[in-house]
Amino acid sequence: MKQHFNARGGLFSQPPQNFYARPEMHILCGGLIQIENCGKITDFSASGLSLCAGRWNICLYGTELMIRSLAGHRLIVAGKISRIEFGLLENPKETPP
Amino acid sequence: MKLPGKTACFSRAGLAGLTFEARGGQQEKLLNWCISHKVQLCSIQANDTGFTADIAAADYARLHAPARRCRTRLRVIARRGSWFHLRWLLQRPGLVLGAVLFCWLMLWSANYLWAVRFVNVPTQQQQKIRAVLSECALCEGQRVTEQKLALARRELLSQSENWGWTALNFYKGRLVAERTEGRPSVPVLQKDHRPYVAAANATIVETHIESGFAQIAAGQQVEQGQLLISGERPARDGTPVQQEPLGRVIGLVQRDYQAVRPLWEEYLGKTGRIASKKSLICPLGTIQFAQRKPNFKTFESKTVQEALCLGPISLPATITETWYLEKTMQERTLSEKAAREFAQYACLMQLYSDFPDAQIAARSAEESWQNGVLTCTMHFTFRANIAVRAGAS
Repeated sequence: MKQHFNARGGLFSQPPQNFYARPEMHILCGGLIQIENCGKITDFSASGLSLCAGRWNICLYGTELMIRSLAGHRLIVAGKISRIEFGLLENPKETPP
Repeated sequence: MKLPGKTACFSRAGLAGLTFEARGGQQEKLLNWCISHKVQLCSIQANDTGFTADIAAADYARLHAPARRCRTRLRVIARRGSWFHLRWLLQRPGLVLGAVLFCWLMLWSANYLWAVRFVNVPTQQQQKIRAVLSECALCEGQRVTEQKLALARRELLSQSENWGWTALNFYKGRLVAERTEGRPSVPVLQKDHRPYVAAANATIVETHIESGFAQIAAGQQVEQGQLLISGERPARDGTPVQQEPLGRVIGLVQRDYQAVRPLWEEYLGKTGRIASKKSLICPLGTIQFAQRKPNFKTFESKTVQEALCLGPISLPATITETWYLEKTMQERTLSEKAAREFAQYACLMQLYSDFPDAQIAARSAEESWQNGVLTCTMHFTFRANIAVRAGAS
């Protein structure tokens, strides 16, 4: 990205296309995880949540998991999260329905 | 459950929300449909058979079709929000319509006069103010305009000379009439140098001269028109000295008054036939009740206005009742005694109109009858102030 900005004329250049549509993940200290621009939920149960975000497959494991809010492509997960796994999708377009 | 479209805004504002349960099928697919169609879900909690979630009531109806495709069964667990408490009103639209109509009527009828209240106005003068307001078309049930109020204020100020200040304030159906007592202004007396002369032939009994120059003394006989108190007297050197004549001269007067009274006379009297016309003045207009035009040739009419009240609550309506009393020319035959008393009373009225402060010392009466007509002559001897300004009528 640094190269991209420099090539286009420095700090005041336009960000690349779909820059703000890229997935983001924030882990809050209160036990909440906020995922912006998530793609699809592939699995959801009380002990695990699996979702696709861009080229990543993110798996959250824990107990008493709850999706606090699902508004558009913004997702807030609460619960006692014990483990997070990231997996790179080979072909992001071929995610399960 | 299908809610009207307008309720969507209430749902999203938290006025109507649902907790539903999704069982079986491809629940993740349903969640992904919600993501792609921006259907907001809250508190999604997984359980053994599916999940439970909160959703706005307006969005719940949109979930049915995708849930059917995902073979997921939806069931409402709980309903929240004031919409569901007020939903029963949809089955009673008359109540809502009535409340809206009532509010609209209240706002609309605020321009009409509901009640007249008086502040610092005695009861007798309240009637006077009411009469002035009625003349200006300001009674309960009539529309109040600035022009009417301005006219009524002008009328009140012009008709009440001894009032210091009057105010008419109209606010939301209530007209408040206030007034203050006027301070008596000290009149600027202009000096009147006209002399006092005798109003009748008399014997002077007392003189009370305040200023001026007395031309008579007690015990003196005076003729009608004789100078009593003059305002000018020559000084020793011949130059006139002027002083305003003021005072009273009490004289003993002997005077005759005559009155004629026939035993038979015609007069315009009431026949006893009465007709009335009632009308109701309200914001909808003037409604006539039992409109019967009296066929009286000559009549006396009297109008009574009464504000309509519902117990202690004033209503914007006035009942106006006009009474018509028929009058015709009637004949009357008096007894001799009654004719005599009428004639003597007429003589007394003449005396007191000439000398209002007269104190009668002696009286005698003479009467003569001719063709049923009594001619009564009364001789009065009385004490009265006989000083009048020269030239005064």
